[in-house]
Amino acid sequence: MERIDLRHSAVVVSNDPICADHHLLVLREDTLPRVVRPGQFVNIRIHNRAELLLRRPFSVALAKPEASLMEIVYRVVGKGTAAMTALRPGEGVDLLGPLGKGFTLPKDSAACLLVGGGCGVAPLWGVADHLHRTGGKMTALLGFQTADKVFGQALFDSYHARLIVTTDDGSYGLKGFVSDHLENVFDVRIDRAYVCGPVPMLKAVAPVLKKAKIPCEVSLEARMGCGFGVCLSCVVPGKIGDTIEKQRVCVEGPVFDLKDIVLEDED
Amino acid sequence: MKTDLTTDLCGIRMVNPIVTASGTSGYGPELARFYDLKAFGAFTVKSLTLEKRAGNPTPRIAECASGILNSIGIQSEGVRHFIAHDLPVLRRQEVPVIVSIAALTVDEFPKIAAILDAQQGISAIEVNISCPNLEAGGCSFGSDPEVSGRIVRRVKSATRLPVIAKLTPNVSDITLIARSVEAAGADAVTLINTIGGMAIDIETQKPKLANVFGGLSGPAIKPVGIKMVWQVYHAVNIPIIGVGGVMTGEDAVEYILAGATAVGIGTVLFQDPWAIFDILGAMRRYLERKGVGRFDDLRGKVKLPGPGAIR
Repeated sequence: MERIDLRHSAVVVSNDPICADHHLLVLREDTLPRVVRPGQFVNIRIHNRAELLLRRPFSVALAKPEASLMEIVYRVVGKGTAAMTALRPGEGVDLLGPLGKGFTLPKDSAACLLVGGGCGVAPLWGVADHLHRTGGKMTALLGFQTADKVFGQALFDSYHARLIVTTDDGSYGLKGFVSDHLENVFDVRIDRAYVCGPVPMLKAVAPVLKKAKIPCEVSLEARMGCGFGVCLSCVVPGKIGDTIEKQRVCVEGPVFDLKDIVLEDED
Repeated sequence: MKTDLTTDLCGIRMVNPIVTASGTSGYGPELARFYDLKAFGAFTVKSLTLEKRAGNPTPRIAECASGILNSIGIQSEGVRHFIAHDLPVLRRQEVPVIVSIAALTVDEFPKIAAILDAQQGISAIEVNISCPNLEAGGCSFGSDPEVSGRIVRRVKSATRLPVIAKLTPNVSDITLIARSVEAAGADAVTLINTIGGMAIDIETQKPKLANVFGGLSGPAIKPVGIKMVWQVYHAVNIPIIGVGGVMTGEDAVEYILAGATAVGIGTVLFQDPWAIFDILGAMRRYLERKGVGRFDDLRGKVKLPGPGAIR
């Protein structure tokens, strides 16, 4: 049997805020950027904090194999991510990856819709990068709470994406949720959609995409224990034929075909 | 010096004392992607139920200071699925397999045991009478000495395999339970299962687990496990698998000094699935440093301050 070794130690290149509540962590490592696929994640051990037992899972936003770099966007939400903000260039990061199943990428030039909300914008960077390199067309519809939390537009601009940014309060871009503006982007051909964001956003977006018969993959977030399938903490209800089966976000996901999952509210 | 990590646990010949703790390593195939499972002295699978179970709602896990609170609720594909899909993988791994079983009624335990008894490649059955996350049964079985003994007796009569009882720490005197399962014919005991706990998110003012209560594991609970292993070591004559908060080889040595024959690791595998190799290295170095050939010579050898020191 072929053995998989997921253990990697990366070096911090930079770790800076990119908006009011998100940081961009750039890591140098030789192997991972070459093997990680858009939508897959890594599990980071929190350095110097032995009492924080669990690793923290983060989607790899962008991999740059030619430079041995990969980028992770994280939102500061608890003790682990707060500790991560202290990482300085040159420090080592212990991580496991690549983990999970990434996005199914179109093989030839395709017209794709990328819908992201908040932190969920980050996993779409890799999809956008792929589309840019393969001559695909993209519309990016990105939602944030307020103007100070907007990040990543420059990247989509550099890929010549048709870009629509929304904020809940209208302080930047269009006012409202991405779901409020979704049908307005259907004026161009869309072959596939890639969606990542909070569950209420997914629940608002899913019926519109289903009605428009656009094949769609979603990347889910979940509270994880192990990240490699043994603890069964991160399960979501999945549709297998006519039955509902628990699916592990860390192994069967985090990317699922929209038609294969039941979206549940988070607490 | 020549060190020897091998040990024998109720007839199971183990290449080292480290076993997986049930529920923390899946059913075998998950970790077998990473390395040969024969690195372990024995592999204990996640508790199997008679029929498929969906488990508890999410969130099922919450991190605490030096610990993890979980309430998975025995999500299980059922014993027959394990036999068809996972046991063949485990057989090829050439590691002694301990199959943990869980049930909601006393009658289900012997039924699962009888199904497993007919299979090749199983070294022992671990009876989980201590899961804190089952709606009925679970912890309540394991906190009653009479019911604990009855379940072990029923399982013993359903199988020729060695039967190990997994004990809960959520009792006032664990030695009563240990004596009861020994009298009922248990070949070994595993302790401790997780300690009942609860955590609240003060921002949402909701419990951090959907099931409200969960079981605490990790280094936070190691002193509880050490104490209970020592107590049970002096209360019964059957071997003990010591479990609870082992992160390092030194932690495993501590359990052996308290009286454990084998030591389970669990939570550490979430952090580092390859932790077994560091743990074994540290255990070997400990023997070398102390000039002792084997752990069998250290079992229960904690040096107490004197008679009457423990009340």
